[in-house]
Amino acid sequence: MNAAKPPRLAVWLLEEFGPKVNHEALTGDLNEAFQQGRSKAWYWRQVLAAIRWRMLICPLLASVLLACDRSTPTLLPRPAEIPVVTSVYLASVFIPGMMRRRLRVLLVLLIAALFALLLRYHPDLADHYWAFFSMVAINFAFYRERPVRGPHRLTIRELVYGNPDAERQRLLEKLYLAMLQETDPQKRQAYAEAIAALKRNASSTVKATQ
Amino acid sequence: MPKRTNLGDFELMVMLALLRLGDDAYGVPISREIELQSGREVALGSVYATLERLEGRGLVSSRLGKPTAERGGKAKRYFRVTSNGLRKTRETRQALMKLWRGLPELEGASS
Repeated sequence: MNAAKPPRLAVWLLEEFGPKVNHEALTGDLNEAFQQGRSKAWYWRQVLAAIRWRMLICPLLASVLLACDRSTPTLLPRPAEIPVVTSVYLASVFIPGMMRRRLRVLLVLLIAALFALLLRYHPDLADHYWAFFSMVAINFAFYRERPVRGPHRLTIRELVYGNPDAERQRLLEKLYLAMLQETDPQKRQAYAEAIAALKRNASSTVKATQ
Repeated sequence: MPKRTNLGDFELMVMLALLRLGDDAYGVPISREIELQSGREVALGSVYATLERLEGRGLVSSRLGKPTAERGGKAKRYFRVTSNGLRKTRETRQALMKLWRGLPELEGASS
C-alpha cells in the first residue's frame, strides 16, 4: 500500500485537461494503482499520456503568435500580454463547466459584441486579437458536459441558492479521501460509518421526496 | 475512406486481455495484463481511449461498478467482449494467420 497522496499538480491537470469520457473510471484506476504501490513518476507519466494536449498547445501557440506580432498596438503592455492572454484562455477552457447553458450563450454574445466594438473603433486591435476572441468564444459556445458523471461542478445557481445534493456529494468525496489517508483502523472505521450514514440519509431523502 | 474491418495492434491486445480476464475486467487489470504479456508499460489513458472506440463499434460493452475508498470514491467501469467483438477478434486472427503462413523466414522461430 502507498500511504502518500498522488502529486497534487498531476491530479489537477487530469481533472481539468483529462479525457471527458471515462474520466471517473480513469481517475479511480490511477488512484487504485497508486495506492497499490505505483510511484509518483508512474502517476505523472500516466497523467501526461492521458491529458488532452491540444487544449494546452492552443493557448501556447496563440501566445507565441501574439508575441511575434510586434507591428500592431496591444491592449496591455507587452510583458503582461502573454500571461494574461494565456490565463484568460485557460480559464475559458474550464469555467464553462461551472455555468448553465443560458449563461454561456449570453457570454458568447457578449464576447461577440465586444469584438464588434473593437472592430468598429480599433480595427488594428481587432486584427491583433481576432484569433484569441474566436478561441474563447468557441470554448464557451461548444462546451460539452461530461457524459460520465465526474466530481460535482459548482453552478452559478448553486452559488446563490445552494444545493444540498452537491454539498453531500462534495462531503462524500472529502470523507472518502480522508478515510484513504487515515492509518488508524479505528478512525478509518469511523469514517466508513460516517460515509454509510451520509448515503443512508441521501437515499431516505430521495424516498421522502418521491 | 474505406470502412475499417480488422482490429489494430493495440485494439487486438485490449480485446485479448478482456477475453483473458473475463467479467472482472476494468482499467487496472487490463493494463496489467497487457504489461505482463507484452513487457512494456501501458498508459491507462490509451487503454480507455481504445475501449471507448471499441465500445463505439459495438465490440465491447461496459457497466459501472460501485465506488470504493481505495479509488478515492470513484466507480470502476467493467468491460466485456460482445459476440460481435468475439467474431471480429476471430476474423483478425484468421487474417493475420493467412499473412503469417508461407513465410520461411518466420517458420520455426518461437519468439
